[in-house]
Amino acid sequence: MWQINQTDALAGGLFLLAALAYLFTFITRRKSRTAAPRMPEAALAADTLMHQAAERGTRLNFYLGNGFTGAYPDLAGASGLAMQGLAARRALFYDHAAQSLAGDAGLALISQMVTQGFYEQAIAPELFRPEMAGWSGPSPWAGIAGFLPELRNAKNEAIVLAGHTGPAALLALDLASQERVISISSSSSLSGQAAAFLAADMFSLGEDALQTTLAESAGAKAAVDAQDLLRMLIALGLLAAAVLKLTGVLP
Amino acid sequence: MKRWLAPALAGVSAAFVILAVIFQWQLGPYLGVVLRWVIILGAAGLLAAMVLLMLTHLRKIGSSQKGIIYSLVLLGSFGASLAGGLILGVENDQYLRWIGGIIRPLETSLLGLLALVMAGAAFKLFRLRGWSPLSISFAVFALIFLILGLGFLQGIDNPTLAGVIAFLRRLPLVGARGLLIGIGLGLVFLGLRVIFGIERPYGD
Repeated sequence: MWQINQTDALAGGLFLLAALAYLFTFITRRKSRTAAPRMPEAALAADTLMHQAAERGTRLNFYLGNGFTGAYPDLAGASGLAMQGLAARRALFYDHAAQSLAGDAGLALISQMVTQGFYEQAIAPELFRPEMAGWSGPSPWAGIAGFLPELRNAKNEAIVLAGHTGPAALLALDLASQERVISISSSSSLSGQAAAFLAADMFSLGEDALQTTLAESAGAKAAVDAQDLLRMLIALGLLAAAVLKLTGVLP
Repeated sequence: MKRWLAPALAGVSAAFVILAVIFQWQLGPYLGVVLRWVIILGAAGLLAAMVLLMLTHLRKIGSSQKGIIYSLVLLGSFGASLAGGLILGVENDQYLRWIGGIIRPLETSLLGLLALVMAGAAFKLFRLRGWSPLSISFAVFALIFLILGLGFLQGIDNPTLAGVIAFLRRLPLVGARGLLIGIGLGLVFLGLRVIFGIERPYGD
């Protein structure tokens, strides 16, 4: 039988605190109507390159990682879907539509359904091709190995690695640098973020890596504000705990 | 009715069901049912993705696109693995040895390649990021941990030095924890955005 322990209670409390912070920033942002909040580097770079690709007749090539339903079943693995969806929607009628590959079967299917849905919404289902969103392999190594040949395509404006990408992502980032293709990384794993620091042209770290959409709606802007607020609270809490520990108040 | 309302309602109700299953002990047995559904759906998705992958490569062969040889190798190896699994069974030792004999050397060679690429990327870091505090601290700590890894300093019998080494060894853990707290925070907000229908990769 499931028993709630201290960690569950702490996780529940943090979730509640996050929801309250979100509600608070949502209400205050609706009233103040201030400018767009600070956005992560990877999301901004991808947005700029989407426009650049449209002008040059090139495309953005996405690798959505190998998390979500397989060996790493968590929501963070699907964080690249939002960015890929945005790119696919903007490039529907371009010469070269955005392309994506995923190292996770479930993620590949969802990205394919999303892309196909955009073409059907635009009343142009005949323009959709299954290769626009595919599955590159069943394991982290196979997934990245399946993505590597796509980097040699002359029509790539940039590659975007978003989602759960491990150290193997370094192979793709290094090849992109050799092929003189711009690389953007927004990885939700520690090793993926380390690889991005070493070799990606633009990247996001920590919680920014999971903020892959541009804050277009009031709700999305409030989420960024709430995230910043909670980050500050957690930092203050950690500092206070360190001081209490050093002074001997905490055991 | 707005288009986002249905997915948002589905998201919120699913979140409440999962929370109820986790926090209400009377509903505990249903957690197993939900997890089994996830496994079945995942397996069905894998099968569908596999069929789609094969169809994509068959189309490539049919239209004689560039790189047809890779598609032929993929289809051939898939067919051989499928036939082996169906005839011998997926638990068969001989079949597992055969599959492992192909996959393990390939993955190990990729791992070896990664080690070389990693070393090269560490040198190229300064060209990419310039002489920033972050890149300089990266180089300094890489050197320190390289020296610590050699084990010579641990051989010196000095309590102060041992304390310094223990402190240095804890530093990567501290940094990793900081990043993990950030990722956890980002994940909570990603979850909230999905539950409330604000993050909608499927369109408006």
